[in-house]
Amino acid sequence: MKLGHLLPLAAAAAAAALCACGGPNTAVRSAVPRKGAADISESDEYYLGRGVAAQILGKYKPLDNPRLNLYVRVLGQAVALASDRPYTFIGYRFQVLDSDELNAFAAPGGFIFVTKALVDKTTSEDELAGVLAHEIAHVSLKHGLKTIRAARLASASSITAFEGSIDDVVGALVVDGYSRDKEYEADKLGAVYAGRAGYDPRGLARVIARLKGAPGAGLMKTHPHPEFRLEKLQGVKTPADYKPSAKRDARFKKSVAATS
Amino acid sequence: MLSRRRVLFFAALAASPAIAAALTVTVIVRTAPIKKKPQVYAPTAATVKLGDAFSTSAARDGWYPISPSDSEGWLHESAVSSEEIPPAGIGFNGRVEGAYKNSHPDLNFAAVDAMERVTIPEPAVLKFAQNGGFGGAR
Repeated sequence: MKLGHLLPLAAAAAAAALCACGGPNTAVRSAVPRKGAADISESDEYYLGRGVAAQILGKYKPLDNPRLNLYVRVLGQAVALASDRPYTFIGYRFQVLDSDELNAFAAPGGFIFVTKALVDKTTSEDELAGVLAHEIAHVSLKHGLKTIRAARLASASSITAFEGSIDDVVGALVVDGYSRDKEYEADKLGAVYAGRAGYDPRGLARVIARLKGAPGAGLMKTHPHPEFRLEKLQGVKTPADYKPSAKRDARFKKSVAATS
Repeated sequence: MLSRRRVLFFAALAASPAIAAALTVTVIVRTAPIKKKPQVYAPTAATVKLGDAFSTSAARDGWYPISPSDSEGWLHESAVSSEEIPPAGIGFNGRVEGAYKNSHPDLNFAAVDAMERVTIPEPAVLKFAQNGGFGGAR
């Protein structure tokens, strides 16, 4: 019997045994006195997300349209449950914003916003699912948390760290945008989540194509140019077994088109 | 070089249930459902809460098999930490938020609270998916 093929297994077993005993990692962690991104708990992320959401809702008015909000909330939950992160500290929350600006935001922990203007750019449930899936992907990938500067979290004061962290995330969401790579990553992963939920993964690409030539404010300022995003989504295809649905079209029209 | 006997010992160790079951996961969200099958729309066997810990084996397709009290079920990996010591936290909490809120009266925490109060029950989401021609998340 040859034993060569068992060596990797043996090494893995030894490594697993070390990890199970709490080995060197424990000592390294206890020797690091300052807080960092790895120390952010789900609970921290939730409170941070509330602070970011409060800033967004201080700048944008929530849309008073119970039918549309309910539709977006249920649709958003359906897509979130198909994501890699279906459970956050309190779960996902969705809100339509009363704004003519084309925009959508994902605050840490799963507070997701989409403006009425962007909702109106969609022409089907598949497209709206694609928009929400992009935002859910930002939450799943913890992109908001990754914008927080290390020095914020190392602050001796929790209140100073909290305020600085919120400012960093809001700055990325509203002013500067995430890096191009993060947006492309959210586009691609969002297409995967939409597809897993049963929607056409090309839905987001169709909305992006419609944004060409839109004014340079809102997401047109914080996201890469639509042409670049579409190029990155070229490999995303509608599955052969995808079936359109008259029921989905009907409820989309009832909830979105009827409120435009 | 490892002797044949030693290699066989490590191989057996890796495959043994004792090693496979040595993992502990800790719930890191406020509440999470234990599902009867490893699917988000499967019936919920029980609900667990922040800080609850369970012995388990490696996750399979994102789900940890667990057996709390009399039931058996599955916990999604996004609801738990498998680290020996889950992240300690930065210290962001209601007290810190309260201090921040007091110094920023222009922010709209009331709207956040209103947003947070609206919960969509999982059966309603499943019904929505099924009415749309889907069986739920794949």
